[in-house]
Amino acid sequence: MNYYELRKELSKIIPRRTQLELGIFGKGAVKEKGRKSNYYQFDIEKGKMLKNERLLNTEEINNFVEVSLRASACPLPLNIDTWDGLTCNYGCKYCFANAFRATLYTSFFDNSRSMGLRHCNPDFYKKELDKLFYKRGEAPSGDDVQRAICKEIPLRFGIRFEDFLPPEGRKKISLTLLKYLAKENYPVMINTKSDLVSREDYLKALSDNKGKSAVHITLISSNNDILKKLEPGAPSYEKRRECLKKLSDAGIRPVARIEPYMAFINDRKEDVDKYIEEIWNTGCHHITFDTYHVAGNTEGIKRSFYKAGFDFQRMFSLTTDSQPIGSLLLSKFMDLFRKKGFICSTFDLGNVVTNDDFNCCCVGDWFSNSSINHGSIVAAIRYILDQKGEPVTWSDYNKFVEDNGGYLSEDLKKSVRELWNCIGNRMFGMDWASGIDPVGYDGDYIWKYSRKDYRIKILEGII
Amino acid sequence: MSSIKESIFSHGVALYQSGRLKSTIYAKGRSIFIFNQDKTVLLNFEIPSRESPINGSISFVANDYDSKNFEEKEGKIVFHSSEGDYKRAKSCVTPGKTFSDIKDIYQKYEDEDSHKNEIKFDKSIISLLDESLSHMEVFTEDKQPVVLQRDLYSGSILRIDKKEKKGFGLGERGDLKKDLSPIGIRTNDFIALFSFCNTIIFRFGEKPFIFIKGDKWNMKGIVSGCVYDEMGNISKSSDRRREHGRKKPKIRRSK
Repeated sequence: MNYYELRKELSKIIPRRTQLELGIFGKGAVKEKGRKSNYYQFDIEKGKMLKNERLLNTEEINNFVEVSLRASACPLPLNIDTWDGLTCNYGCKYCFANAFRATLYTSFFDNSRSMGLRHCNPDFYKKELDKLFYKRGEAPSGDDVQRAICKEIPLRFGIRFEDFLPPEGRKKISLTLLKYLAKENYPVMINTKSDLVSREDYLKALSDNKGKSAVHITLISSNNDILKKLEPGAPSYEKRRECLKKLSDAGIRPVARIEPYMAFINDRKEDVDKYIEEIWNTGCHHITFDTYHVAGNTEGIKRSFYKAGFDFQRMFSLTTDSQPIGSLLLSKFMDLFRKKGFICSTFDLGNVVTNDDFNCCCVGDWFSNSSINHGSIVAAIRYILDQKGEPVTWSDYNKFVEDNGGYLSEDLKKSVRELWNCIGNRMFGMDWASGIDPVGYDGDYIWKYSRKDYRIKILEGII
Repeated sequence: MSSIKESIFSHGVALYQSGRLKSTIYAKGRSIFIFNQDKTVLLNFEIPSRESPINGSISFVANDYDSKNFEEKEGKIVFHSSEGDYKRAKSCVTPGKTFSDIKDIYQKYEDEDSHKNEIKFDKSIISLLDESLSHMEVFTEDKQPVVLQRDLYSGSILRIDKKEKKGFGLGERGDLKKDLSPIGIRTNDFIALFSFCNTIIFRFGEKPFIFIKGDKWNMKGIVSGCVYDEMGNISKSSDRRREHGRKKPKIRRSK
């Protein structure tokens, strides 16, 4: 059954909603909390009225490089963000980070609405990185960030915020750091929707980096009508397509990202066919995919989808809520791109065994094999796969990790072991991986690559 | 003893607070409308002549309902209550639409009424439904109503048929002119309707909306159905026929 046949079958399972009237009540995704303004309270000790306010530093980001909270699953978890704001100007409807940040900032700070966009102080960042780079290439030691730098895990821009919005083009904050990283030959990854990265000075900073650079351009459809509704402020399909071409021409690894993949929204055959043809022609032959994130199931985000005219519930039920079915749909969707020759990978654990790249970011061949977080569940699945059907114990895997630089922290080791034993964060449990089955227990589960796909059984049950 | 209109309002509040049906209430004279925020359920009640009608036209979010004593004042609805030596006035903003806007919507659907197929459901079916599944599928097989729920998570199918002769679950068959192709109903919407009534007649037609008529409080209403096509957008229930819907349900029967 190919993707469109499967999609047709599933259209008979979860129906599409109609409404008596179009539109929807209520506000959009970003739920801002109200705080009292000009609020004074009588202080008994000081005997006078004092203004109660908590202010956010609107001039500068103080946080620095971090190891992602998802590091127990993610092979490339070293993040650096240069820009921040209450909301990102691209206004993507599915962005739970926007909703989360706006709620957080407006709940705790009195000046969040006037913050606009703020950025880091590149001189401060450079100084801090200098200290960390001092131990590059040495046996990993120190805290999680230092260990990640020792292993030369690529620094990734654009996880918490879009670091290449138009003001960046004028202020060149990210550019300053990219140049610094190029000088240091430290590997770089960028996640962005902006075509600014294909401007001459950015291309140069990226291509000059001997540690190599990869740029992931999020482009969920070739249909501008859909993009305008779901990503109203982001560059058009054509601009992002051109950007991929320029990156490719400059010798930088371009990776297209279809994240989120959303059944019945960004999977129309004519749009997908166009995407496959045109993106292939840019020279970009790597694509990463992921299903819609479970964190994006907030009331506000749902309303944003309904306001844009899309049936959120149908998409979410099929793509996310029913993990196995969503995962199976995604695998068939990726096959459409594979037919053309694209190298396809995903963070969706159900499909990790069939990823074309060891690394779910499609850069496994690009950066050094030692520059990844081997102590993560994606790496664990691939390790089991590599044992070609032999049973794998926790001790086997643990030795493999220790032989390759160890875990980024003891806490992380504990988390990965929990996921190995299907406890802790169920989103990333080993049992979600298709083709990997438990075959024993020695205090920890023993796993084996079996090729059995539990998702098919579930599908057969409902059709 | 509370009046029928108070009971209707109170049910509206309860449904809102349970998250089952977040709605807005519109009332004028002897007519009350309850319209949910998702715009998939529009209910209409008639206040009997033995009760006093509502003066003027009022509208409020169901969850704001605070007391049977209320008035419209300067564009807001004010609920009055008292306890001991104190009195309270709760002032609430009114929703964007008015009673007459909602009546017009209702009327437009009523004007389109060509719905001939009737199925009568009674409240006991609710206990057989899996509330955690977002939709239920209604169709007929050999002129008998069937309700189906499919569990995407486990791969199981839940099928509810009318029992032989006895009316348990699906109640009487109703008036089926011809077999009904599958139409989806949101499980939450379906269950919410039975907060007001014990038995409800569902009247199906070609378009994906359903007329309902309850056995209490002169409840009538319209429920938007869900369609089994390959689109991802939201459309109006009155926009098109269900020709792209499923024609013949495929059900794996147990041996």
